[in-house]
Amino acid sequence: MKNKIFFAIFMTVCIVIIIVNFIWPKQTFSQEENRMLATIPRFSFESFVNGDYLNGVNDYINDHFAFRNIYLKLNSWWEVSVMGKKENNGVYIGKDGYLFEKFKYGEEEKEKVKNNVSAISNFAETMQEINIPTYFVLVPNSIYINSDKLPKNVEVPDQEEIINTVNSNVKNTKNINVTSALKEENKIKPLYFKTDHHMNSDGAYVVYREFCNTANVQPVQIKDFNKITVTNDFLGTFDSKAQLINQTPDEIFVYENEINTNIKEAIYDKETTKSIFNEEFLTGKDKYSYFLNGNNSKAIIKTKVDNNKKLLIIKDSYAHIMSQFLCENYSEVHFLDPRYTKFDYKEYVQENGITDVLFLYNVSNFATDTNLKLLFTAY
Amino acid sequence: MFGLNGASLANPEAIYYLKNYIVIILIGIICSIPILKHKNTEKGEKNSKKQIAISVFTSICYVAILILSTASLVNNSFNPFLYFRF
Amino acid sequence: MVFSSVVFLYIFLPLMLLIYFIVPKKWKNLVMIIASFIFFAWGEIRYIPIMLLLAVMDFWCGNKINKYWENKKKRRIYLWIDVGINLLILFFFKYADFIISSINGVTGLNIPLLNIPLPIGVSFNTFQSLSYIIDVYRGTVKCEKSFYNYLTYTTLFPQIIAGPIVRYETVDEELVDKKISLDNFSIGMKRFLIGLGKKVLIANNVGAMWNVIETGAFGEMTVLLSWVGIISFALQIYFDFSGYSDMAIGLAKIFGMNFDENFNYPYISKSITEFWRRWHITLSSWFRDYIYIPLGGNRKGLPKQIRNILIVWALTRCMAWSILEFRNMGCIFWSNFNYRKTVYAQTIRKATKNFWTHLYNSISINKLGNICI
Repeated sequence: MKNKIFFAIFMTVCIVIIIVNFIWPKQTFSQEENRMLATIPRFSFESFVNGDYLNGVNDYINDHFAFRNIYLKLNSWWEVSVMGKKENNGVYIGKDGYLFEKFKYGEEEKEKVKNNVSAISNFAETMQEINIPTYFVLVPNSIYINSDKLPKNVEVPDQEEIINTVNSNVKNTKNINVTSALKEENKIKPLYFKTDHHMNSDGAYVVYREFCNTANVQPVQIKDFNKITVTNDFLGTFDSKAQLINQTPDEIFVYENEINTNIKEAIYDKETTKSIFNEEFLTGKDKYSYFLNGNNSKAIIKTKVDNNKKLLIIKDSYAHIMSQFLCENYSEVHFLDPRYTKFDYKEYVQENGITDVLFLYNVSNFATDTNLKLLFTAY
Repeated sequence: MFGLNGASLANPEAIYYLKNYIVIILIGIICSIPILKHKNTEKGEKNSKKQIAISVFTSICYVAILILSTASLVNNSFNPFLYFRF
Repeated sequence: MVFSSVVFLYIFLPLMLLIYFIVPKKWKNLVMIIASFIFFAWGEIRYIPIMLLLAVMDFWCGNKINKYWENKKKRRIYLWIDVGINLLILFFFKYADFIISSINGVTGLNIPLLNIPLPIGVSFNTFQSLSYIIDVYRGTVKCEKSFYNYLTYTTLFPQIIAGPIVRYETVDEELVDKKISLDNFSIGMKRFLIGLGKKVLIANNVGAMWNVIETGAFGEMTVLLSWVGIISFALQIYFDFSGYSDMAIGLAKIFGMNFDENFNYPYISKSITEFWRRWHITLSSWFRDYIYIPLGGNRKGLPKQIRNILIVWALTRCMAWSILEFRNMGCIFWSNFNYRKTVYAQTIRKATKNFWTHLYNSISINKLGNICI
């Protein structure tokens, strides 16, 4: 009798899973994973014999398994709530709803940092020759500033030490050290997102303020802005990896004033708009793309500020949220991303009348980036 | 292994990892010992409500093993990117 | 293909079972053969011709032995032909490059290495073939007259990768007459699911801990870490292997066949000899029945017993592929030999209670296993 009961229950579950898998429509892009999902590989005798074809079929089946997201959440429940793990898929699960992606700083990373430092130094030297100041900011990550929220006994490489070493090694630049300011300000209000690897607008403001002090530019006071909450439902990159159930989402707020909401134009890769923000992204998963229209190889903001100062920022995505502040002091702000572009940067500076260059990176990216080396070693 | 070459007792990172895995290690140890050999008492009516309830419960447990294993396998193929790769 | 994959669980197995249960009895073996080829091709397609060759050789030699039963000399010839071919292929895959590089080293030539990866399942397939032909030679079993059935036996996909070594006598009747029923389906599927859970939920998990320790990510090896490492290693290999065996046995049951048990709670063993009666039972009994005992076992006096143990140990060392277990086995046989002979061990056995011997044995087994890695 018990075998009949088992058979009935088991077969019902299996048949349901298999049929659902069969009829469920297949997607092409995964918002959760931020990548295109695998497609059925083309068959050829050679690819069959060396195993590539079947591996491709394997990937396809795995990628399109119905209700994948539910299984991911179930697995994280099992690992975190039941097994008591304090990490999942490479993300630490901290206190108060904080998530942190693991940060490694070994020989490989040191090598990349060294390369990036010399790339920037070389470029800054060429900028010096044409009298353009190069600023450099290396921003620490949440895992360092919020290290008190890490699970117990987790040790993280000392990012402040990394930043100090880099600052002393990079040449020909005007370095801006934001670490102490961030540490101080973080005690008053959170400067980083809990579920994402970026800073929030408050953190961006601190970096902006420190940059202005070094660049001899007058920072706009925070009280002269309107603080606007844009969404309360932001689940960022850390959440995509960790897949926790019941993760408290983040709030995205921005500081608006006349200058950064009333610009001349914003030129992006695929469109030109009148705003440094894009509300369409607020409906999807990747809400951080609200800032500066997501990931572009090139973004140019033309403001109504009446000076002849034009800023070129060579950056990773940390600079996007700073666009709301940098607009205040420059007639044009150019954002170039070495991950997506192969410009001749010196030529770009000269052709566009750039007056100031800023390298803005976060430590985690800086330790893994290989694009700077490719693009700037020629200099 | 017994601290003979002056090896230290423990370092913080090790403690962190141990805490993460202690539950699964305990489960493993328990499952490798025949504690769980349930005695199949056939006392009472074979089709009594209690027997059926037990059968349904154990069947659901087996299905749970399947679902949890599937979840783990799906997670292994999970490959998120921070930035969209062109 | 592996059992613990989405492809197997939700595509291959359901399809295969559906077809298997629908077709009439005489075609079920054909379904098994085709399924086994697909299963094997999904990972090791290059080995398939060799697998076929071996099947043909075994079958042919088996029948010749049967035909020339009275003629002892001819019987022996056909035995050695088949054994020879099996061992040749086995050693070829394992040692070809080793021999080539040795030749290169000695003679200064520069013969290019073949760089053949070792196909998974070679070893178990070979053991199975050898057990068949030796059993036929000894008269323990009647040779299989139908190539169709023999091919089914030798390619059975549940056990082909790492499963229990299935001797021909275990399944000879069931090759023809499967015991298919709803009860067997349920019992088999339950067994399969337990194996799946062992592999995916426990072994993979605990294995992650062991991986981190093994790669030395911690810098220094603290006392705590060594203990945790050994425990997680021991748990991983146990749940990995026994889980796989459970899945194989479960699948066989669903198909209507019965495999032998392979693991019997090895970690409660109170002595190393008992351990080998509980760990990968089909493998250790294979070595016992086909090598140790034919050599005389422990019946021809102590010197010969020592020699026999050493031979088995040497063979297992030779056969120590990437399968960690074989290396352990070699170490353990060696330690078994040492262990029995030392006074220390004998004193322990007499003086301590069960629990402590058990603990001591478990630790020494794993510690030795650890060292051997």
